[in-house]
Amino acid sequence: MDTLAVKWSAMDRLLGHSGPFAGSDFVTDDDDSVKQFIRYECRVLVVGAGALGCEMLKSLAMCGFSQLHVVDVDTIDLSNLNRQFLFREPDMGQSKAEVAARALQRRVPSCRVQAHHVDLTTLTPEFYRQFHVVVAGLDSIEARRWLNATLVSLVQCEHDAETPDPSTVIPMVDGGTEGLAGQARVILPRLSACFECTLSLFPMEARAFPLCTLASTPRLPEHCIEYASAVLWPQSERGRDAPLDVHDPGQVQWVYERAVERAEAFGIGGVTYALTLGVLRGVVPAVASTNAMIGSACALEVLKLATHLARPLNDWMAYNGAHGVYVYPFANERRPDCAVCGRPAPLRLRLPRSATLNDLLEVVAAHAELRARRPSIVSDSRPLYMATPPALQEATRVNLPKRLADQLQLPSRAADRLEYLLSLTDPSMPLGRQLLVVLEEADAAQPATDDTVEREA
Amino acid sequence: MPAHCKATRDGALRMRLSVDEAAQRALQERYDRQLRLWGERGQCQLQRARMLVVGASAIGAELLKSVVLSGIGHCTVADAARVRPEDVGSNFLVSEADVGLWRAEVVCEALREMNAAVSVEAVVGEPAQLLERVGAASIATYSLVAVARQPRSLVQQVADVCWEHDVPLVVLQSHGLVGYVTLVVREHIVMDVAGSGSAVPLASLQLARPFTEVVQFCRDHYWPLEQLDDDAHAHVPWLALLVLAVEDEPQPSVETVLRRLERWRRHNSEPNFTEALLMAKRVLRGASDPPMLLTLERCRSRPVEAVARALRTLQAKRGLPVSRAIPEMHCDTASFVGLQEVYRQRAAEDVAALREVLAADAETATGGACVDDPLLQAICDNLYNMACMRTGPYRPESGCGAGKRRADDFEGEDGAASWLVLMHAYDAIREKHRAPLEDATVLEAALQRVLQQFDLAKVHIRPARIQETLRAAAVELHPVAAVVGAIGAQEALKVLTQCFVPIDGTVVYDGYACRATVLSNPPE
Repeated sequence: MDTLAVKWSAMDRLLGHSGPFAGSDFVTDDDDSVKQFIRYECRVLVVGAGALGCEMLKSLAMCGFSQLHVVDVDTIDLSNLNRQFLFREPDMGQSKAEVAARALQRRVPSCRVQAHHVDLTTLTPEFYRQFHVVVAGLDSIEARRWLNATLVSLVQCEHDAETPDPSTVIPMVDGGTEGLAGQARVILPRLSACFECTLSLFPMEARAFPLCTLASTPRLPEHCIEYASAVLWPQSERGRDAPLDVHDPGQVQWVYERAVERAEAFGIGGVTYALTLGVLRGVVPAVASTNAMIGSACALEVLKLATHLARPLNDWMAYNGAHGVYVYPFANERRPDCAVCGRPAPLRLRLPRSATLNDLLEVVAAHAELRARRPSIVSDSRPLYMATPPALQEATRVNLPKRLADQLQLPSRAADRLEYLLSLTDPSMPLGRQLLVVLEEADAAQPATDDTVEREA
Repeated sequence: MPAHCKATRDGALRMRLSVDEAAQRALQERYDRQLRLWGERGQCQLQRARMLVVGASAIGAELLKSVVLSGIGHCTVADAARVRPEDVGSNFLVSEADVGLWRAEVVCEALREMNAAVSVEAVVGEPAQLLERVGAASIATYSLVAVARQPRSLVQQVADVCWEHDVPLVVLQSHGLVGYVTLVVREHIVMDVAGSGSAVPLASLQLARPFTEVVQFCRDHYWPLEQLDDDAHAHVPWLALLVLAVEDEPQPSVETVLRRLERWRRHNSEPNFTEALLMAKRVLRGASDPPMLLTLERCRSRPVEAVARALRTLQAKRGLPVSRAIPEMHCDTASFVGLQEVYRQRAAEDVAALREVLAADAETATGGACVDDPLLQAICDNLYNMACMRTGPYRPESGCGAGKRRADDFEGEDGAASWLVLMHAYDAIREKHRAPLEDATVLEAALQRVLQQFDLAKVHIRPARIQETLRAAAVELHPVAAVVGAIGAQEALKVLTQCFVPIDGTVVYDGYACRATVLSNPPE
């Protein structure tokens, strides 16, 4: 049966009547054109077919969206089944995107779902351009930064190069969860705060334990696991050839066993297989209910954007269910100097004069606005360090221990400091960033840490 | 009951390790992400829980989906409806081919497919007979009852039975873009307010009055501090520094302790002293009884109340139980492992001592209340993370706070209570006329009746909200039903696992503003 024909269904009722909370562009759907749009025209891309992705796909299909695409490079794992309800045990090992698409179409035959079992960064701008809305349920900040920057880059501006052409703005609805907390947000690229504008709202990923603790004074089971994976694995027979694959159960088991041995040697208890997995994969706690809440809240925003039946969220909703229930909206401001949607000035980094290229790499990895963990750095089109391809990495690795001051041409010289303009690129930053590196006399500069880093005024 | 959970004689559960290792590993792996939230104890509680859900429309189905995926033991789904075409457009667990079948049966089939380990049972029948078919008396056998989108009279009937038998109740409703979840608990013990994996509460180290064994350990290993070389001096754990700084002071003041630490410190870059100075303020300023000890003494749960009294006795005899674990700190391996072992042993002795107090006390004070070992251990482990909460009984106006309401709840931008009374007013009409209401005056009249009934006659409800309520016509819009169903599931999971703190009344979700507000329903 065609759901369009169902009398008094929820969508009919709300789209057929206006109200004071309807969006300003809302028109009552007397000729079914809005429903036709949802059903036959509105193309929605769901990025991620995990717990949020399953919920988003399901809720979008139940709203009548029938031109869906889903992207996910992952395959189904047993630990997904406590919340990713489109998957069953026999599906383990198969593509999440493909199984989700099939399961959804079985339940809602009128909905067409196209699956893409690929890494989202391998899809072209032309691919993304075909959608009316993109909704993301991703578990990594890096992937969200990439998607955000891609959607921002698709916006075309009028002749003044300032005013965005609204027909090229593809809204991004983004959800995220951790444990009993989460957030949903609506990004209108170049019109409202983008993901990069608010990057500092996301905590930095926990830093690794200091190597000296791992090597000589382990105290926690985590220290033993980290030692087994970071120190013992590269020395092992298999580890000499390839980095640890945290999704290979055999290799995880190996690390677990070495960690148990080390823990026993130091009299430390508590190394378990589950903890090993947690440490190696940086596992985030997750439960069905929180993901359902955030995933469906995102789907509701897509419905608002597509039909104007109510005004969309401006622009962020925070949720926390650990103590009572806390759901609260708040509006972020765009940053005029946002590295993605604004006009970024070179980021000023102060380092001591003796700093090496390696020191600079550590600073850009730890900086809250950069978080560049696989950076490449270029000076006057001469590569200082290239993370990829392997041949260039090989060739430029020798520069790492060298002092920056010895490797660079001087663009300007002040009495007490040396300033260099460098270009930084990183897989998480599609647009790259200019850095103004200032090398100061040792007594003028603190060792490079987060708080010595400041933005150019 | 799942095969790997085994009830011991006294009703406690533990993971049965005798089942084959592979099955055990598979279960651990399947529930791994949520075990990191509520631990094995929470998961076992959930796996032996029995839940009754009355109402299998979209909102009930979404609630069920989350609790079944999480691995609850059993669900009974009671519903008086057969699948109608409009269900197909809102309820993900039914499809076109199911039109005309009993909705509860169709939903149960979908749930079984989602998690075969959960036992699921449907109860169907005409609305008037539904409760009879469930069996009012059997309600007492459930761990929790949820009522989703049901007539107000049925909600009240179920709520009264739940209250009488101490069964937690969750009531859910969604109307267009708004909805609510109400939780009613006569008494609920939260074992762990922060969830598993949270930091060791500093108070549980009992550093204001360090126990003999830890004092002895610190004296043996670190005293006198002057004799340590610089490297060893900079690696004395902060915990040991505090023990040494307070041990001969009956009532250590923070200032004295800080002065001592400053005096002992050799130079400013000793990280262990930096930690100790910081911790001294936190540990000593906040030193007091576990906040919940008082509440536990007065709680209705006989075993918990008995343990609380025994804890008082123990406190006078040898101090409160200490934590089994210590927090991470700057020190060498031997110090950390040694201190950890001192605490582990002491904690085990504390539990044994507590058990003795209880045994001696059993006949006089506890009336023979049975306290099993896992419960005793769990209480000792969570002494500083426990809470006891209570709400008032269910009434439709619960949360509207008649008499002591805040004007903001109705008239402010948030206005959660105004959505709540509007939903009740619309439901009162809907129960008589099924067709959507188009006449604002009918809704306004119903609203006045509800306000009067709730003793809120003078309250002003924004006209825009009345109009939107008419527009939405109480329809179950799928994504909103899913959000509200998920919130309801989360509250149910918090109650069943005894982890994290549930709402203490009604939470109203406003999908227009993306906001939810809790209206408390305190006990009378």
